[in-house]
Amino acid sequence: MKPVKFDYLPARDGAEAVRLLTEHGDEAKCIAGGQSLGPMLNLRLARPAVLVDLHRAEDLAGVEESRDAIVYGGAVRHADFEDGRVPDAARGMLPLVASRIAYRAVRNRGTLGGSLSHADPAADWVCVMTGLGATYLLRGKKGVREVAAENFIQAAFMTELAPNEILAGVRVPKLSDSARWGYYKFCKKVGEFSQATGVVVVDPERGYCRVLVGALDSPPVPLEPVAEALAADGPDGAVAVLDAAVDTALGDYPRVNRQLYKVAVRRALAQIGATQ
Amino acid sequence: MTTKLSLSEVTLDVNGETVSGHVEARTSLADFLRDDLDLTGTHLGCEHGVCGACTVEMDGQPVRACITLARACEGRSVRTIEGGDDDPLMAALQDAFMEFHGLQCGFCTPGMLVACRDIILRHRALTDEQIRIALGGNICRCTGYVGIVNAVRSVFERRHELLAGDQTLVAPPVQPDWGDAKLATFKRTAGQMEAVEAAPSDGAGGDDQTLREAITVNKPVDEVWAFLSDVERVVPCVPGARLLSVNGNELDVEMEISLGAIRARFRGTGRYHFDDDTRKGRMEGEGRDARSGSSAGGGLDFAVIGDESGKRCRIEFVASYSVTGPLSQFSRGGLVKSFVGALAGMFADNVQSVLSGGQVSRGGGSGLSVVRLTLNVIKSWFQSLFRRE
Repeated sequence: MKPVKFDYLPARDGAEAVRLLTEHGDEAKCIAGGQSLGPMLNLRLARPAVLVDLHRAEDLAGVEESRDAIVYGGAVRHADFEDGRVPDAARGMLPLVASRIAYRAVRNRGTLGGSLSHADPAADWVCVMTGLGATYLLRGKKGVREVAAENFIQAAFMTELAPNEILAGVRVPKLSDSARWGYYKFCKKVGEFSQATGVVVVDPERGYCRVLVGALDSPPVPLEPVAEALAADGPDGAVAVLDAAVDTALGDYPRVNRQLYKVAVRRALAQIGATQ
Repeated sequence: MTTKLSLSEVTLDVNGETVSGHVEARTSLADFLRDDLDLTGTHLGCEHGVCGACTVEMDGQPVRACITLARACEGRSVRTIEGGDDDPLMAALQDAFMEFHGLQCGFCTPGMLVACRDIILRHRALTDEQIRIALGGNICRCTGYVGIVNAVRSVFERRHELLAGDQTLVAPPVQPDWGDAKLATFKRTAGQMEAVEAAPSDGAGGDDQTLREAITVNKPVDEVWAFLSDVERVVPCVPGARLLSVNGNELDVEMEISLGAIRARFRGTGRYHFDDDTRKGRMEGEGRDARSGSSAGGGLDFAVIGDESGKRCRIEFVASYSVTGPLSQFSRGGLVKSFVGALAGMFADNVQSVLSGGQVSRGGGSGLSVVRLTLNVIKSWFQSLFRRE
């Protein structure tokens, strides 16, 4: 098994990556950790003429902390979150989620920006960053533009990124001290992609609440009635309206699948205090 | 598209020695180790990052050598199973694997040992369950894992006599304890999202699928029918499709789609039939993607129904499709359906746009002739094979 022939162009920084991608157009592809693209190359499903490697671009691997938010570079690795080498904006959520992505050998290479750009709806970061209301910083020829996490993925594997743009960073709002989160994913085996994911983020001080069901055929879907009930009535109130909300949001899914999604969200709600 | 064959020099540290070699851009670290350096202790199993047999250390961290490009290792420090001879912890693990029957055929063992060494280095405490979870990325087909878990536990219990203070302990992340305080209720002012229904999914799979789409246009029915029954104008409204030639009611068509990192170009033939009396029509075709060897077929039925005013009409589409060959092995019904649903929606938008005097959107904002669409069928295949992100 060998990939097709391609040219390998390591980028020193984000600006050079954008320049190389612009120069080589649609035949070029970005690689960072290579944990998704690597297998696709080996299986010749992906046949780029040019690979632009971002993994040594130091400006993409940094972290900037401000009072309200932390910006993580797109090339920050899963293991950096897991091991606490980068600060956590979300009261323990980012390290814990990172520690359950695939396997350690994958987490040592795979990156935040790579996972989000790959845009698999079942990916942990896709669900978590949408739940936290993160903003993605897309760097292109004309500078950086910002896209909200919930608007980034158009469909599975299809994003807002233009061919010559890179996901340079992710701005995650800091959770306040009263905030709680829940995250539950069903995996048949440790390290596999999720079959059903529930995400709950509630931050009373900021008036923020989001409840999502993820690992669908499409990007994560909000359960707005559940989020409203969670803010107004608390976790048990949210559980009370959960089943109906999932049935509405996933009306076209078979019953057995809807049940899996309901339980995933219910277990996420249990993590923040639901007793039902 | 292929590029010329060219070799580049790469220099890195392997098992304590500086080595150089000339490699192709596509050469993996595993192939470089095995073929150029004769370090065949690194085994290649699945070659797409799932089985763990090729696990080696890079800068002290386990990585998959099969999906790491050799060129990306320039200046790095790599340690393979051959480089573990002087390491007391690795020696103890090898002894324990023998003692506890942690191997049989030995194929997974080099990667298993590299992973186990890392597990011991990173943990302050280890239950059997934690060992099993941590070994989730290394597949063994012989032992049933019991012997491996026992071997790891036995070495972990006497790790202090084996380590020269090089344990890289970090506190493992844990689920937070929120305490007894009840979560405050509040007025929700942030985090709202537009409530959307998930893209259609049938979940059940199957090869033949249909999708319905309907649009209303502010044009008289005759004008709309004249447009829809003109293949040279309609085919380009299908995202990614190109009409190559028309012979009678036979068509030569090409359909190019971009699926994340994957691109496919289906080339084939089609037919059309229009009934001016009922204002119903059908276009169908089938084609093959030469690169993947996959075939796809599809049909589009449409009907134009005028309303009483005579100024507006409704167009109903029914799209049907099937995929065979390698791409179809990755498919799950719901994913194909949401993909074709996106296609049908874009087709309807294009028809609407052209009828309103606008242009066909080629999609993507990239100015490409290729419509950037994802073929969601690959997702479940990622799930079953890659198990990563």
